[in-house]
Amino acid sequence: MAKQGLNAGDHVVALGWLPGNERLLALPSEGAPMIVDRASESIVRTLEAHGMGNTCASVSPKAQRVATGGQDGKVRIWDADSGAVLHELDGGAPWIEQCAFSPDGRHLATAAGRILRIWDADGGLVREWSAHASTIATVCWRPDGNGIGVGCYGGVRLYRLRDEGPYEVLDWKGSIISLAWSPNARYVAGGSQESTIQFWKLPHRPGTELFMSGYATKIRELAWDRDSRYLASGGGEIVTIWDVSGKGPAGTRPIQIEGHTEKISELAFQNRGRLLASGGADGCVLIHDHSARVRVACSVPCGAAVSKLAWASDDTALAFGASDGSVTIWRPKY
Amino acid sequence: MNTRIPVTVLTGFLGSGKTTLLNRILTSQHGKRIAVIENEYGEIGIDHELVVQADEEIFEMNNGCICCTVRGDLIRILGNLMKRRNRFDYIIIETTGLADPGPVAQTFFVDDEMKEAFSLDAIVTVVDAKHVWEHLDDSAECQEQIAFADVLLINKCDLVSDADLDRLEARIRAMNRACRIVRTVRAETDLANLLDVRAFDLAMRTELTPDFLVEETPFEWAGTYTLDAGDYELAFAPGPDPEMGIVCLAQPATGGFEAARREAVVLFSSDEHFAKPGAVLAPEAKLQVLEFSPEGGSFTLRISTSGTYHLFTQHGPDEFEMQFTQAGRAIEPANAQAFAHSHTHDDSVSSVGLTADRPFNLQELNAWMSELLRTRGQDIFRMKGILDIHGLNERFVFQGVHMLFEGMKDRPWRPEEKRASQMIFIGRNLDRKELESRWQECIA
Repeated sequence: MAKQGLNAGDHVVALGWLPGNERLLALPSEGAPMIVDRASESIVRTLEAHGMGNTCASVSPKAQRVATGGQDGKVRIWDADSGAVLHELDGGAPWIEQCAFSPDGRHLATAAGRILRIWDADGGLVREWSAHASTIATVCWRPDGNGIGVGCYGGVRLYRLRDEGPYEVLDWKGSIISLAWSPNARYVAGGSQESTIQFWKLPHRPGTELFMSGYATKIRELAWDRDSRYLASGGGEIVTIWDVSGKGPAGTRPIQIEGHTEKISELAFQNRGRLLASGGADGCVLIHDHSARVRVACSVPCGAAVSKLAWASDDTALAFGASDGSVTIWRPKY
Repeated sequence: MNTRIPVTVLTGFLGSGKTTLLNRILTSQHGKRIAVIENEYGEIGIDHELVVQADEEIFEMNNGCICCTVRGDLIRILGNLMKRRNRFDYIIIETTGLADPGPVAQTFFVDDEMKEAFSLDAIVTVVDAKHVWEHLDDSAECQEQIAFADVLLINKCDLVSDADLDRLEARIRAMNRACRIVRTVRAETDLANLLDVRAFDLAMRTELTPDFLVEETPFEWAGTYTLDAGDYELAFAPGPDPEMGIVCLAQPATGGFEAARREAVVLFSSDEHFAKPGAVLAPEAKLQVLEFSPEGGSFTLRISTSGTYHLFTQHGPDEFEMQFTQAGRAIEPANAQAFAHSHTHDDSVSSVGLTADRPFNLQELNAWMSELLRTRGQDIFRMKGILDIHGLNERFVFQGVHMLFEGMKDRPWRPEEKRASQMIFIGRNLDRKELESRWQECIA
């Protein structure tokens, strides 16, 4: 069991493991972002809070660096070792919606209002795209780090870092609030405010887009497994997993796993293994093995509504944050 | 336990006093920690730590079979703010003067997360007593803001006469009979009028504003006079209409003005008795229609017994510069009142209040509502009702915003209480006759 009492001070809005999986960034909605040591389960460093609240954070997959964004319109890149601010970036609008390091660690994307900016490791502005129909709700890096997707009301745009404009325009009349790019880069899935998943195969040919519906509520929880075969989704109390192999997901029935008694708030597949973790407003984290006969492998109580999940890159630990600020580091026994 | 955070929506044109009001709320000692979501042209200019600027992004959202508009920015911002729920306990959303309040209100009924975390408390609209006239006729936004209001502040009352205020209030009433009208100077009013009003809370719905039942009067003005026996002159200048109906009644034996008013309502739809300038009129139970000449006209009102008399005029007397005199001496009414009368102003926005004292068939009512909202949902801004349903011991209360509506069983009818139904529609181009006849058809 985890040691009691590790708390970020407020609703955990972001969690991420630093390279090496020894330390964890936890971002509360208000108050100081903090670095947590895995072994001692204690806070080893706190960073300066953003004025009016923190909205997003990202951890570099390659360096001991973290980025945080807030309602002050600023994004800060920190040295996680020293706690020093390396760069303070201007997102372009008063509210930073998203920040995300690229999978290769070379760039940081920030989204504020309709403005998407790409920064290099030295805090230099590499590119800006601002011709979006509405505020950017979600961003997702292309797995190779050379491109990025944004979702907003009106659809999805995919950009290559080297290009001026988008190379894929995936229009859709509703509001995309979550985006997940399959690890093999062949699929983009967008979760919508209208309780559907919009699904595009790349390169996109008009008329081939799919949508999955029947969800109870809007879909903010999307996760791909490492093989790009299974797409897990929330949008209610049931975990729905689509198999996109073969001709799927078109015309297929998804795997549906019940277990949560309230809405699912987070989904995360392991990086190397096949287990899927789901967190719910019911204060439970469930570990699913969708290929096994008994699909819910284990249930871990969290105490308050689960807000964030993060697997260590080697899957040896799962961190979860909750709406009461609690941060739990859980180590699977298998 | 209701831990939902209340949300007040503040609407009104630029310069109406909306910002003054907001500042007043924020600086009052109410013990609440208020988060303000300000529109992008906001001008609060006060040191308040929880001001978030929003850009009023209207999203069309497909919610099952109903397509409606919501404020996407609010879903995002409030979704974020609610993660700090212990840090504030009230939300005020200020909209631009040009905003339609519909999408804001709908946001709190369509999005699950918003529904769970927040409760729309009330829509508060501020109008400028003087300048609102410039917008009443042709600004759809202004009309919508008035139509949507639960609380309507007529601000800057010190800048206009009482008579003009009465006229404005009557005009607003004709558009929205369900709102509470508060007259203010420099937006000064008791906070209880503004916050925690719980206008959308079905469980709190005890009675509809009594005013909504005021039937649409066929006259715009009534004056009560104390007159001695003798001849009086009623003189009119040319006005907006070549003729005008009036009813003059002696004080009824019982019931006072109210009884006279009810009688006048009936008389106004009785046979017309035409009178040309110079005619002699007497207080009697009939509708007299004054046929003006191009110059207007003067009429004699002959009073045979001293006493109290009530004069009801189809139009406002000031529209014809009415002069009530005796031997050149002006006679002032002891009491005068303007009435809402939507027809003469041809307001496309109006309220229709319906009542019935026999129980309703719920299926029929549901079928009618579904059809109505499907076909007319865009035009129906607000809907409220307390219904007596056949076979149900509890009151059935409901309310709606455009096509969205919710209803539930309320408390049981009390033994001493008269079971009756009331319903009000506020909307554009409402057909009272049609609504009334469909309503009657739903009676069990």
